[in-house]
Amino acid sequence: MRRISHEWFFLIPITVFLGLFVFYPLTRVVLRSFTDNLTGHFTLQNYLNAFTQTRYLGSLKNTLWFAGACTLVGAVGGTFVGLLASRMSPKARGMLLSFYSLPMTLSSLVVAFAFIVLLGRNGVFNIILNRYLGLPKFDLYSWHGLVVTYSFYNIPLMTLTMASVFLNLDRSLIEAARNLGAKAWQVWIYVIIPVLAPGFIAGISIVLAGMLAAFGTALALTGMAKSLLSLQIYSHASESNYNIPQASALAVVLIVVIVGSLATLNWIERRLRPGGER
Amino acid sequence: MRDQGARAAVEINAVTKRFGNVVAVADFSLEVQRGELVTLLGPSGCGKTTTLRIVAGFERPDSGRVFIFGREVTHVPPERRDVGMVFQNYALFPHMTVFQNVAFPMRIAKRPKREIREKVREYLALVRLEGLEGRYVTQLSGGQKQRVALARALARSPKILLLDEPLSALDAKIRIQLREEIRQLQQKLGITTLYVTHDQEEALSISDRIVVMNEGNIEQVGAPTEIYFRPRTLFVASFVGTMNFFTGTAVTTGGEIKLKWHEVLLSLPPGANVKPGEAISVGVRPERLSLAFDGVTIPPGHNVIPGDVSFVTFLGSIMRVEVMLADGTKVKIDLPTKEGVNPQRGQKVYLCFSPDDAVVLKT
Amino acid sequence: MRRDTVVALIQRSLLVLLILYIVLPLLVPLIFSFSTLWMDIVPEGFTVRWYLKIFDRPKYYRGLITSLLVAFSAVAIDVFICVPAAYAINRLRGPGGGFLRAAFKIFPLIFPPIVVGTGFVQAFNRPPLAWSGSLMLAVFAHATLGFPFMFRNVLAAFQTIDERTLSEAAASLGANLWQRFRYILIPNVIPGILSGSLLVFAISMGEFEVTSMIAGFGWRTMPLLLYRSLIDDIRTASAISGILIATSILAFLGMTLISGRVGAGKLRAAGARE
Ligand SMILES: Nc1ncnc2c1ncn2[C@@H]1O[C@H](COP(=O)(O)OP(=O)(O)OP(=O)(O)O)[C@@H](O)[C@H]1O
Ligand SMILES: [Mg+2]
Repeated sequence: MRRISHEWFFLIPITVFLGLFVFYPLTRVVLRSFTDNLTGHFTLQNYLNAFTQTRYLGSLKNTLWFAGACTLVGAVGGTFVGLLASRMSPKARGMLLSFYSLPMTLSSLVVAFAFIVLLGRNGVFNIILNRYLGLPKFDLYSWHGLVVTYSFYNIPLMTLTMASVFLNLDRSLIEAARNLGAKAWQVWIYVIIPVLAPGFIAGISIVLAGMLAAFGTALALTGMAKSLLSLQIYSHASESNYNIPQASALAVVLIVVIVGSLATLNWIERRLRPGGER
Repeated sequence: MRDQGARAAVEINAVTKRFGNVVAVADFSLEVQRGELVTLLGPSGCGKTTTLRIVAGFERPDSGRVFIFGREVTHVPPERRDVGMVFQNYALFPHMTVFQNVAFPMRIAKRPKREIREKVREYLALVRLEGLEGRYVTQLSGGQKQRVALARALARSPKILLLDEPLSALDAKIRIQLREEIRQLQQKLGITTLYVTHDQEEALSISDRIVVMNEGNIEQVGAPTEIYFRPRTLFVASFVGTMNFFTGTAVTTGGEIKLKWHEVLLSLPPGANVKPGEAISVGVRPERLSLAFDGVTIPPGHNVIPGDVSFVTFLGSIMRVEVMLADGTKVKIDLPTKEGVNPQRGQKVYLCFSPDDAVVLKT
Repeated sequence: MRRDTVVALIQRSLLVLLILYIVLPLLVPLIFSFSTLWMDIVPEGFTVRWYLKIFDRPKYYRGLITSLLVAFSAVAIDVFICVPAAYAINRLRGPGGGFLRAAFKIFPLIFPPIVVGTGFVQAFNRPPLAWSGSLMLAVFAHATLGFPFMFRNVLAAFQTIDERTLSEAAASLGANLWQRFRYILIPNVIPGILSGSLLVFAISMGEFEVTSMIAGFGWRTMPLLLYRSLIDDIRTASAISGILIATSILAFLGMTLISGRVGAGKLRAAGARE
């Protein structure tokens, strides 16, 4: 007699929930992406559109550039602040990291609004810049503006990751390496980078995946003026430009892009790991 | 249900448990009598914990059956087995005070409040922890924690007490003190106890009987003295205490069976059941060996092997001498110390032992 | 001046600057929401007029109530599905458990809000799942977006308390599954559940992306109202932003308080061991 262990019953609620609200909708997305918007027949046209029409191709290119730039800024800024945080007293670090966890739950619209007040055409910052310093205004509604705004999410996110990564970097490892005769650059190559890499890559994976799909703040700031893949999906899936099959196909493309990026990062991480595949 | 009175407190009947390819417990059978303290002793990974967890009900055996006072419990969940357990890392409830921890089983059993209060006080007195009722368990020392764990396990008045290496997280001194207390408490309450340890000294000192396990199998079951003086397998002989082995072939000389060890013929203890030509080992404990510094003082009837002193350690009440024999074997000897008797490194000596002090083990 | 003093001063001001980076963008809309006029650098006048408007007009206070209702419901659903799931997955040994733990970690990355929204708009418009435009669908959407956060917190709580041993100890003392949860496990993982709840609550209160895709005609949440007012009523926008910022801050204060409690408890335990 083999009794089913009670753990499996505890998985029923989440299984039902995931089935109903994740796998079922996702299946619908995939199936609908192969149908014609009007007739409902099978077609590959939606995918063909995604890779031939300039608006979609352009949005895909924009998305990649935008997400890449955001990730770069987030990675550099977050690593820098994370390093500083790891050197602070525990109390100062606790305070800093508490503040840096705030943006995580902040509504994308609130962030948009905050930056409009701060950096918008008549924002405080631009008044100082323009009226008192005689410099040209900062354009919040440009690509740069979007990257700066989204950095408000990404730098803190990366900071939280990197602070713990730096804190976990065992000083005695470095000292042991120096003691064994390693030069400074060798310590970096053989000790520090391999130890930091997994956390760093995990951090930028989260940022990059988030930025590939982000649209809330961009929508609030620039409407549909900046063509991002996620905004194209949004416009087809919401009332303005209703075409669910096209939105679905673009969503599948987006998922593939995200999975591809994450897989690439994962591959790089494994190469950096000491003793990993060469 | 079978007749309760006539049966053992715990009966483990041909139990086998596998984890994937690992056979943790293999065809294990054991009966523990009422009021007995039986210890499972063996090296790491030999299946002690698994056996105990099968009795407690945390693991289900792949085959075999478990009885507690005649009632089959093989498929009874742990909470309905009436078995108290003390865990290696205490497993106290961190959000509760000492009082609440000990009261927990009675609270679950819906005992009246007054009774709970009295009983908790009683059990805390039993483990000598009066006055700590209000402390959170996170504020206790390791020894105190283990006492709380013991009081808590007893508070349910279980039919059987199980202890899995209860002392291994404590330092040496408290360990010895607490093991004596556990033994006294166990005898006072007369509670049937299964005790797991990999510390042979602990096993020898507190058990009524010891079960020596190896790779999921029982090697030998017996009283501590029996295990120590009459080990039945090479494994038991080498795992419990220190043993010197002389391995060779049995031969007949002058109508007597002896062990031919290199050029030396060693007499076997009377009644050794050995046939000529058999490969056997003769084991002798260090304290049963003596040293002769010349050929004259050798006691009559003793086996004698010549060698050189290679190492001497003075330990106060005894002196441990290591003697290297002609074939390179190193033999350990424990001598009672006496001022002025100092074997020197390199000194030629004769190892002596009475055949009565040797055990014969088949290889 | 001594050299240490200079270094300390630099460190102090660096910390202030780094904190300002977060605080300033949050402070500015707050100040804006309490000022009568802000044309130049310095805002003028103090008023709570813009907030009063929210509590006066049905459109806005209904939005607030809707948001609270959705957030509380989403939290309740996530607690209901995540606590048992975290318990079970923490117990699963072998590759299965490891796979599930990793899957829940990358799940929100490959299933972002835009995809959740695209799925939700087309999956629930036919019987028996004809929930389009209903508030219930928003609740489920928020629960879907929030559950990874709840799950992560609760799982971490189960991992730190060594749930298996505690459960076994309780079982050996006669506690059945329900009693083990009621008296042992829940009291020990409640900090994780509370942190997860605060996180999900804050996320739900501010959620705009998916909500706007599945919004019905009968209801509006705060972020949807904020989106409208960003275009035509910047004053109301400031007050709604103020409320949402306050929600996030309160949620994080709550979480800091909880982790502080737990941390202090650990410290006490560590101190007692010496
Ligand atoms: N849950 C498990 N899953 C897989 N293998 C297990 C499990 N529990 C025990 N084993 C294996 O079963 C064998 C016996 O383990 P057990 O814990 O009973 O040994 P033990 O005698 O208590 O050892 P120790 O002295 O180290 O505690 C070991 O090889 C162990 O690796
Ligand atoms: Mg064990």
